[in-house]
Amino acid sequence: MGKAYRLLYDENACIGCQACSVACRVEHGVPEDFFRLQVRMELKGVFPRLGMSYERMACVMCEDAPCVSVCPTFASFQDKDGLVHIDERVCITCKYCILACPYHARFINPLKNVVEKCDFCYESRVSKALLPVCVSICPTEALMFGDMNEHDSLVYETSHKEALIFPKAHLKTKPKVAFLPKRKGMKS
Amino acid sequence: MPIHTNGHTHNVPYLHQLMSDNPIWMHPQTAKAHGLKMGDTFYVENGISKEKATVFITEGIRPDTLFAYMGFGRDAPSLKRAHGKGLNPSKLLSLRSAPVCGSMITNVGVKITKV
Repeated sequence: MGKAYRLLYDENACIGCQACSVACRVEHGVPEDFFRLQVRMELKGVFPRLGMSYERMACVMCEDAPCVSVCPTFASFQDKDGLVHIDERVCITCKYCILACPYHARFINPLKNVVEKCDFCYESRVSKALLPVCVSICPTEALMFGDMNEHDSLVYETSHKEALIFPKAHLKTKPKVAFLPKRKGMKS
Repeated sequence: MPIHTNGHTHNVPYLHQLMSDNPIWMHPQTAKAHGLKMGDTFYVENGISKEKATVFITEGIRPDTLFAYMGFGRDAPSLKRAHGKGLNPSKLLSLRSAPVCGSMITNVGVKITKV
């Protein structure tokens, strides 16, 4: 049985510290002004009733990935476990995938002159049974990563305990990333 | 967002990419009263100094208060990333220290004037 990876982002635990985005930048040598992973911050409300909201923005590894179906050279492809990879040897930077991605996850790396995006740290970590860098560095344990086919995994147990929201679910891309929405202090 | 530490880290590349400038936080009511829009340049002045700054209009500050991160407005040209960026708020602070504990002033009153 293949793996069914899932990454969970807990909006209740995220403090917007940017440790994950800096760790990703360091791990993959992401050039300045570009990002594989961003945590966007927004201040909501009117003084004095204020609140911060944070949102993780990175590739969500769609099961039905628009970036794969539009690629003219098959540089954007899916492996047997459903992870979307980029074959740097055949990418011609036509940018069709950048336009097709509804999550704005892809960008052109000006140093390597190919398209790049979050790869769940597959090459450097997940393929060696380690966690992605963002998941392992998060100081509040807001990120969880694992295989939904392993029924004793943290992601499986959490997915069955908590309400999950899949980003842009209405587009039916079937992302592997899900959010635990803000409960505003209520118990789960 | 707490990115930099005191005045030390402003030239560090990863941190400079996250925060490279320190516009002054101002409540929308205060900004409107002084005729300032987001990003406008203005002067903050008190008995010690008069400094030029940019405004960042946000609900996240009291209408009677201004805020600016410290450690910006660096003089040393060898701090290639940080040099010349932002305002140095400590130029508006007094150098007097308390007689026994030595604590110094970190909040000060300023007058806002348009450029």
